[in-house]
Amino acid sequence: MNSKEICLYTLEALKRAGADMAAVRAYKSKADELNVQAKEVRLLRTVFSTGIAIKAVKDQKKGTISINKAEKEEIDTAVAACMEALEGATPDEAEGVAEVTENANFVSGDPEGDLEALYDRVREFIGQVEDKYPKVVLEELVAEYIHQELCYMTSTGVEYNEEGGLYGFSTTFSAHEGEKGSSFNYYGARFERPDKPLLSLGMTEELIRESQESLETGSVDGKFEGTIVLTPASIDNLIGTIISNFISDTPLMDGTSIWKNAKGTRVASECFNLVIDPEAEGIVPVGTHITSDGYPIHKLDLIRNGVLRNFMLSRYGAKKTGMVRTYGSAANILVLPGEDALSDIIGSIEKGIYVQRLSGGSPSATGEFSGVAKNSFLIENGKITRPVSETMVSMNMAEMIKNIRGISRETANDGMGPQPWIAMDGVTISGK
Amino acid sequence: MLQDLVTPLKGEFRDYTELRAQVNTRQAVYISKGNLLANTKEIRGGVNARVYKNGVFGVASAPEYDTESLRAVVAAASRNARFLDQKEKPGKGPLPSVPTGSMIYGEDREVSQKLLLEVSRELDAYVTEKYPGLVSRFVSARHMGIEKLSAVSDSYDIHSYLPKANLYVGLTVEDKDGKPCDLTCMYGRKGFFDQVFADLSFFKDEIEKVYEKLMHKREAVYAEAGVKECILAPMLTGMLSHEAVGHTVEADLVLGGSVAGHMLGREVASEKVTMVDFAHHYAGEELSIPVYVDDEGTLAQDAVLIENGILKGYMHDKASAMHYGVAPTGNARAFGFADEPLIRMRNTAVLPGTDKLEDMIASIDDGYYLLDTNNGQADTTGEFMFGVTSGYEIKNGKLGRAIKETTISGVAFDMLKTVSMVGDDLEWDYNGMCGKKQSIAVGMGGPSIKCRVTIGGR
Repeated sequence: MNSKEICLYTLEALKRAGADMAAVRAYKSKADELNVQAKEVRLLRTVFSTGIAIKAVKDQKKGTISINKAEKEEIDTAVAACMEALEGATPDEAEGVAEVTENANFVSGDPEGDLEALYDRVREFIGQVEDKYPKVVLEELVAEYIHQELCYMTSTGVEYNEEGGLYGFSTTFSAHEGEKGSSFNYYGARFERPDKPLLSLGMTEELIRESQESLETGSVDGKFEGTIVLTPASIDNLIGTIISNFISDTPLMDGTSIWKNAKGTRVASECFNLVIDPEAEGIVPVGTHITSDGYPIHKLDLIRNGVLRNFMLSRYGAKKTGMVRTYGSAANILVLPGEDALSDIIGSIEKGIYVQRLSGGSPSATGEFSGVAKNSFLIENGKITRPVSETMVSMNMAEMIKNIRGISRETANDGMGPQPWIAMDGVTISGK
Repeated sequence: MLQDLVTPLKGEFRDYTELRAQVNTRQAVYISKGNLLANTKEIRGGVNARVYKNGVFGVASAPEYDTESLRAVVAAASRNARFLDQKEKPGKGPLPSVPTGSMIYGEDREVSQKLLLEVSRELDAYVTEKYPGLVSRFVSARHMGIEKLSAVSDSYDIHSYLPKANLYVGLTVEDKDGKPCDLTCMYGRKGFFDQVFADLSFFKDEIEKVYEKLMHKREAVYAEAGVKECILAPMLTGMLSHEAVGHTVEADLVLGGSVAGHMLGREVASEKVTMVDFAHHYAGEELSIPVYVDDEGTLAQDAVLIENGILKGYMHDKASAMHYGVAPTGNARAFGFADEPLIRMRNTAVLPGTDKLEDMIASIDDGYYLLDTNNGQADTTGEFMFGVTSGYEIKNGKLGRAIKETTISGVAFDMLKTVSMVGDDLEWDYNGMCGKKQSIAVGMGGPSIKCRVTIGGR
């Protein structure tokens, strides 16, 4: 059975088993994955996968199950287990499945995949890194091509089909000279065709170059309040906190979000815009079209000119909070670029840190965060002066975005959308 | 249990081959503030072959479990190995030979989803009634069973079933400024859920201890940033063993340039520090991540990493053992059926000493007692950062006010040299998953240790 046939069969089986409502997501995929360790392509792995995720609702009680077999007997067993699981659940008026908004079929990316070309790009990358950045060691590199056909269907008539192929790579690297070594860093990107050197994708080359420049590091002196620049490689720390702590289902349902009453009010500097935009330039549109609860994703302002415009609420979260459903999950959440040149923003900073990676715990519900600035550089009198280590930054993310010094007009894109550099004041920076 | 279709194919192996059938069953219930957000069961099974040829590996996996599928993945893995051998021409010799034999371990049985729901609901009702001041709460119950059946050229064959159960209860109150303030009570051990949590009274006692800490935490003050004398409680010592030291002595990361590559035989810690990655037993008891035979068919041995402060060795799979000319330690573990074995830790701990916790606290004039962590990251340079979710000031040898959430950081092999006292209170933590390409269950442990460490704060 293909993924659509699996969905049809499973929905029918769920109906027979007495489900009032049901949703099924089924996929079949094949991935070829090259693994590099210390300059050698050491392993080639081929993975054939099948996945069926089932959600059933009966008498407002929910059960879910997922399996990776597509034989009818296996599906029948899973359906029975799902119905058994929901029997023990508590009825919840908010339970249900997506209603039809617009059904669609998506075809994207490279349907065939070219393993030889991907191998050549990997070898080219190893060679380029060796030539240009000889002190850099590739601790790990994984490059893959994955082809997937996916179907999402509900008992209420929702149907999406997607067939897509995409490439991706991720690498972990550090620089070494004698007994000196830099901190490791990592980066990855997804791409539609293997038509560009991996080194040229997104922030890859900048991070590898900086790794080689970071063999001699030192802590900053003492403690001071300064500015941090988050780059497209580290901006996810900020976006992730805004979403998971302030505007998504869990903090709003729990009432722990400090923005629970802030819709329509200023929560950030006026220059700050946060959007969901699956149509943005340079996005590899595979697996990004629908939310996990079955709604097609379109462009949506979350924060516009510093004002909170929308929460990210799933169908369930919206019912629970009595607020408007938007999207409970989305892949392409972007900070919009600003007006300033990155060099001008850095030029205006008296003292701060250019942060490529933040290593820290989860920010608290209120957005308090402290962590180590990794693969990062000291900024003094408008210039990036030296790499730092053992340097901690402490801040409140909710306060930080009210203290934005500038957002760059330059962006970098890892295949999930363009992200800018953002500079924020008032961060506690402390050394040894 | 899986019917054995795997070992009969061993006679058909041409190159070095690992052939494995595996089923992972994961069940989860998650109740947040009374809402049942997750009530799930996931069953993922299939077959996997890895073939070695002249220094490269080919791997293939498929979800079907039958003889045809097993033969197909061996053929596909062989093709992948040939592809890379032709491209890379590595020309390396055979993998090291290991003892041969076979072992059967553990038994498969079902755990009812209803039980996870009942226990979760009972705990949710219990904390709601007992602690009326909560602004939020969650209960999460998890059960995981992993069955593996593998045959490996000239190595041990194994058929094993390992169950593991975990409970998490999160409590949130408002702090003195009206801001949310939370702590989580966690417990996990090997065994079926109904065995591990047959009696919930011990877990309710643990919740009470967490609630007491939470009541202190709501009044907490910022820690003073800087290098301080601290006592790390067992959970943080365990995190240190795993994240900051353990990863740097995984031989694949050593080959990738970890700091430990230059340190074998050198003093890396105070002589009070001994650290071991245990295969399956410690002090006569089976640990919760028991690995008797790893996924390369190697009989697992304890890996002594640091002995009395001296770096003694690394954790190995067959390929790294060949590179270093040593015996493999049995650390090659794969999480899912589709995954290839990687060098992974098992039960990693700093061994206990003889100091009493009260003496350790009494010995500090101005420092911190750091209790719990929710997150840890470390670098292959040994530089680490751990989130600290609860802790107390120590002033003039006595515990003081609770501190707000903070972070500690340092360089492991510098920090371990500052260890001046090691407690006699070893505890194990089986709540976390380690994510090194594949997410896998690991155990970490240790006693309380006194050391100097950089603490974040305001």
